[in-house]
Amino acid sequence: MIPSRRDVLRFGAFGAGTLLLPRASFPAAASPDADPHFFLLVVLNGGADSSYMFDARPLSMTKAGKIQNYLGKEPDPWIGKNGVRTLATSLIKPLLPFRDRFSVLNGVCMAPSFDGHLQNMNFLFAGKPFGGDSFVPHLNSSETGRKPESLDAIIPTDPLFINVDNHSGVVPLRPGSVKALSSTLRNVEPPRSDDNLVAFMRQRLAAHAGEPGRFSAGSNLMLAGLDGAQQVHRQLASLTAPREDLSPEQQSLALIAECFRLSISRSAIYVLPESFDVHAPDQARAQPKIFSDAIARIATLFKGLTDTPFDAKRSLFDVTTVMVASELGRTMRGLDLPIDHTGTNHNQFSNSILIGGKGIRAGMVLGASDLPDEKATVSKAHLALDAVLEKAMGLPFDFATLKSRPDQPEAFDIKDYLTIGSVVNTVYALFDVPKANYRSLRRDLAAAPVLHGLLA
Amino acid sequence: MTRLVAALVAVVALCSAAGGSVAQTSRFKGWASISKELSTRIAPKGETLDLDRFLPAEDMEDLLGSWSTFGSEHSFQNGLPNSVSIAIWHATLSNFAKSIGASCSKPQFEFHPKFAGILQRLCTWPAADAKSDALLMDYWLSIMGYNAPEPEFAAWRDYVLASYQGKPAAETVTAMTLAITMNPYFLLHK
Repeated sequence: MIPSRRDVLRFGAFGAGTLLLPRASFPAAASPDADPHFFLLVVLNGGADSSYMFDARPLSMTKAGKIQNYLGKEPDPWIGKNGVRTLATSLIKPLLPFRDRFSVLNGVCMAPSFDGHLQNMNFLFAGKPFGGDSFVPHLNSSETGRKPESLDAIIPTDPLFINVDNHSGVVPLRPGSVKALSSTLRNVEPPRSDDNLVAFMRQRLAAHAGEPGRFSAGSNLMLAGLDGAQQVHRQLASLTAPREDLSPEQQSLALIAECFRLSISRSAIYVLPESFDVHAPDQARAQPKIFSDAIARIATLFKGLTDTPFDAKRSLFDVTTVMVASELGRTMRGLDLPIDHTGTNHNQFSNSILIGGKGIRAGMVLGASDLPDEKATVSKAHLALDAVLEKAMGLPFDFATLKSRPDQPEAFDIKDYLTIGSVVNTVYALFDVPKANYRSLRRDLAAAPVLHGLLA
Repeated sequence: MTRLVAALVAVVALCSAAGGSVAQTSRFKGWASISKELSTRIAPKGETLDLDRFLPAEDMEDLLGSWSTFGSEHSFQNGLPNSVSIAIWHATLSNFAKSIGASCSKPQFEFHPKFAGILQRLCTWPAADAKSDALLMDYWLSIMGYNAPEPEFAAWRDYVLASYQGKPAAETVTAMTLAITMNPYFLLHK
């Protein structure tokens, strides 16, 4: 999809009520939206092993040689408000204060086929292995009935490598850039539409924008960008840099909060710096530290969302739907390696996602993966996809009760499983994204079911 | 035969759908590439004209488009023009153009001797010699290179002659430079 000129024009379609107030006191929101709603996606890059968080396995399974466990501690039961039980490692302790703020989704099938990082990151964002339209910009579409924010999303961290077609409104804006950027912009005249020179630039862009071809499409985007740039220039010039004594997560959250309050951005994509891709035994051995660091960052973000006022009545958490996801899960072990010296590979059949904040019923556990212990057997559907039982797989899912089904299907049918498509469609439902955008389970199948019971 | 025609129609339809994808959209050349082009054209041989001096913020490469690698895949990320990137390019190139304009009275940085000569003559604006087609073409090529077709030069020349006929040299050179550098032929991959 080529972003239309109108799509890009809307980046500049804010302005009213964007008074910048001092950051220190996190003053009342300036957004004119009576029902503000934002989205924060926290990405665990590289394929995070769910068994180190909320889909843990008993140590007896490691003793039986089924799954690596470099933490070496028995996990604890984690029981959702809906009565569903899973096991959680001690590493998730920093998230305990927020357990009523998010729900856990286990056994999420990311894709029925591909298990590569890029393909599965594309699946997470676009629902297709080789790219397409990302779901994040859809949350900012005027078709939702909301006035679009200037940008679809900011990325305050290192950007992601993905192949998506519609991220021209997703901007890698880091806290460290803001000070010099806003200061420079304050000292330069924005491209005013009544300026003769700007009119000439516009004329040249328009002269090329109406023709077919790549260059014209680019000129068309430049033209739309120029038309919106005056207001965006002023908006970026009004940003204040986060305090440098804050942690990277706090700085990012401060920037996100300001961008949300000032109607600059509908969403933010926060990529954790840890790499979860642990094929080598030594990498896998470091997982307790990797997860400990990552969970501390997630807890800092959650605390910041809770403590940061959006306006006089609401916290940032109250107005933001938050999702924590990785593109993949991981295998239980590497084949032909000793269980105490093994890395892990990619697992697209089971992943864990945390989701909370605005519009989400928190505190629940939805779904589960199979192979919960060393004695468990699996379905023929599982064996057909993973004959060597290297990967845990999501259990069949009952979309009415939001619980796993006890049956063991004879053959794989994606309609039986909780998929990333359902998670994205649930977020779509929250933001009133038109159903025409919903992800289908497969090209020839209907839209992945919305998890209505997860909606508050 | 009917099936063959239907298949051909389907292929054509798919091709046109693919033609509508963003993959078929020119992207910005990016911070590093523009910096390199300007260095080659106007800076002394072997020296770099660093765009950071005109907008000294971090991460402009990521903001305005840069090559990125994941495994064996290389892709230009974040290069699609939008209002943020246009605002940043406009601010950066405004400062760059002001430096060139200000160099009419005092060079703001070192130039390639050939470019310095062209600029020196252009800085006699609004004298008749500064308005000659040959000199304007020399200045255009000094900044734009051979990226744009001749009608694009003609549009720029006509605009400058009409709008800055009696204006001071510094103001005119600044506007000339900004008009060239904000042109899609200068900023976009073709």
